[in-house]
Amino acid sequence: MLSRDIWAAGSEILIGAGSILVLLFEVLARRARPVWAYRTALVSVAVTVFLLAAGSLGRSGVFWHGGLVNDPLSRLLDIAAGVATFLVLVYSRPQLVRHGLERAEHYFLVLTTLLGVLVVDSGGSLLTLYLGLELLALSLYALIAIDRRRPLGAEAAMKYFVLGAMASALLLYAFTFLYGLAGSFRLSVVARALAAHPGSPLTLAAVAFVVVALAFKFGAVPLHFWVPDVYEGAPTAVTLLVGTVPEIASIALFMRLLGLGLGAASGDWGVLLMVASLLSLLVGNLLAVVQLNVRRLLGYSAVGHVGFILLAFQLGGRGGETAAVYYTIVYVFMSAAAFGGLTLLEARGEKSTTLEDLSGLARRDPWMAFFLLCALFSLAGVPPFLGFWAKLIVLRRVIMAHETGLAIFAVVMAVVAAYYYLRVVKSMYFDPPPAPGGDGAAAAAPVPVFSRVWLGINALGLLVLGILPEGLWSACRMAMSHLLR
Amino acid sequence: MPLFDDLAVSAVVFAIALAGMFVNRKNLVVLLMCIELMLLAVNTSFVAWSAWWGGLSGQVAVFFVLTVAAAEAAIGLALLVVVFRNKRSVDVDTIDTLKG
Amino acid sequence: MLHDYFGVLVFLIVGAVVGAALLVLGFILAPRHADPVKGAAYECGFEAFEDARIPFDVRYYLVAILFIIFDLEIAFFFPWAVALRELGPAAYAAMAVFFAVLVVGFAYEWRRGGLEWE
Repeated sequence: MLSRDIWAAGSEILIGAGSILVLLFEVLARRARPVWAYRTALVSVAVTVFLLAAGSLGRSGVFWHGGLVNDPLSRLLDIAAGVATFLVLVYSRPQLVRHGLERAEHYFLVLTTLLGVLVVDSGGSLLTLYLGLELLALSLYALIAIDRRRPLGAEAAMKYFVLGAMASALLLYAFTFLYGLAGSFRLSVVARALAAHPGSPLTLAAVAFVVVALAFKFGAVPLHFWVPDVYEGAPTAVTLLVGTVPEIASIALFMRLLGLGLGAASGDWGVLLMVASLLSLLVGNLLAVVQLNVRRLLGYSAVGHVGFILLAFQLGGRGGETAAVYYTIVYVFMSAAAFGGLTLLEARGEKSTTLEDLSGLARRDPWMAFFLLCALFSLAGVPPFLGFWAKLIVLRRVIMAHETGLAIFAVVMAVVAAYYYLRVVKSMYFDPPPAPGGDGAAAAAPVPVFSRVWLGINALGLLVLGILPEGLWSACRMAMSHLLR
Repeated sequence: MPLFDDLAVSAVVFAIALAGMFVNRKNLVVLLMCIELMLLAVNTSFVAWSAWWGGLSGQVAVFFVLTVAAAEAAIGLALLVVVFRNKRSVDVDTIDTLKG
Repeated sequence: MLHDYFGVLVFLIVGAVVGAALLVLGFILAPRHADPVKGAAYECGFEAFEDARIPFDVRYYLVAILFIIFDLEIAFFFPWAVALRELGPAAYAAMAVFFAVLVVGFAYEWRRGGLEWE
């Protein structure tokens, strides 16, 4: 039984083996050669994505007594997480090298982050979900503080750690209730038990704790405090990771745990999620307007985007959930392009902290400015870009559910979001560059072509996929129509 | 009713730990201890339910939770050391540079 | 049901008596020579007689960090060892993988100088 089932976790095994290999190089090499860690990480991620896309990995089915579930959704999310990790690795290396931060541990932790996401994607039992989530979270805590010369990093990591550990403990406590109700960790058994005992106090307590913990992990208001702090405090290359790959795990957790496991209690969690969604839209977007630090701005805007995702998810039913999954995947790639652009700017020797640092970028580096423009337009939801379709599909679902008031509110908030995104664009294209003689211009160095080309593919992909939006949407619909548990 | 008693103990311990996180405004080490205490309360609850159902899966879960708790404690202590080296203090109030 | 615990009671009494007896015997029989070296700091570098609530060197935390992980990973060996006969070669292979990962982690911390005191 074992030899047959073991390859069901092929993608996880590949990434895990890659991470061990990175560590092994570090142990055996006479001198530290982090570039080999980078290459190993890149190759293992690329091979995993390729094999997943070719269908040779992740055979569909339920394995390991329900602990591991491979279905089209897990495959879609695995591929999205793999591609995002690939981009993160490619964007972050030049910046790490320039700032003397490139170490094998960085790549090791990026791989374990991805491993955690993959485990959550195909988590069929409460225990698998918890272990994947913790692997992901522990890797992130370590990564945020990895630059020990940066006091802000340690501080942000400590805050994130304390709150994150508390959220995990709450989630786990909710799991004990669910286990008590069902007598099993399998999501399918939990779902049956919940359907058999509707509205029991244990269910209500479990739902409340689960929603609180998941809202924290996703960064929804009122548990969003860590988002801007971590985005600002973490080293830029780590912010790039935090703002992209873990979101895939968050939506997977929502789908598996709330959608499939606690689906019978959707009336209970729907209300809570709706409140969180409205607050996230309001607080995230309004606070983003007053930010002068670009990373804090993107942090608060991430909270706003989570509001959109939850707005779709709280509708319940496959339609809303599909829109939420679609929005999340689109958001991850928009976010990868935006933070990737900022990271590569730092690799050039520029600062990318405040809006002023970006001013006049279009004259210094027109291509980079254009790529950032694509990312920001897409995040703002400007029509031909992919981000527009994500917003449109969510709004259509909300209106179809006769929640016109919610839809109007979301549109207003999207307009506010467009304002602050376009302000960044204005700064890049119309503001004069900072006074010459500053540290920026003198130290400018070329960015490796490889990273630039990938950023171009990522940014233009947002435009091309926006013009031809059918493919990704139907992939999401396909994935959501054959769910297993 | 042993199940109820066990769950009550677990709930009380969990509540104490949770309250500790909000009441304690002084020391980061105490926060780490509260996190550990929360996970121990969870373990108690797992064992209680496991005994009630007569299965072993809850007790197996305890193993995993203990391991994760150890890893979490290790990372927490490591972060504590980094914070201490930067600020020469483990007071909660010192980590307030990030704002807005 | 109380008599189930009778053995525990006997154990506690015997333990207390033996422990106390050894202390008393040592107090009566042992030769005593005062010597400044005896009161000196030893092993962990603490003064032998002082307030227990002193700030610890941060290095103790580092050792604790490294210890605690391996300490709990070992817990997985116990149920494995007990059930190995029934589980067969698959469990053996699984534990080999688990152990290999653990060894890589250990080699890493050794290589990084995590086990050096200075």
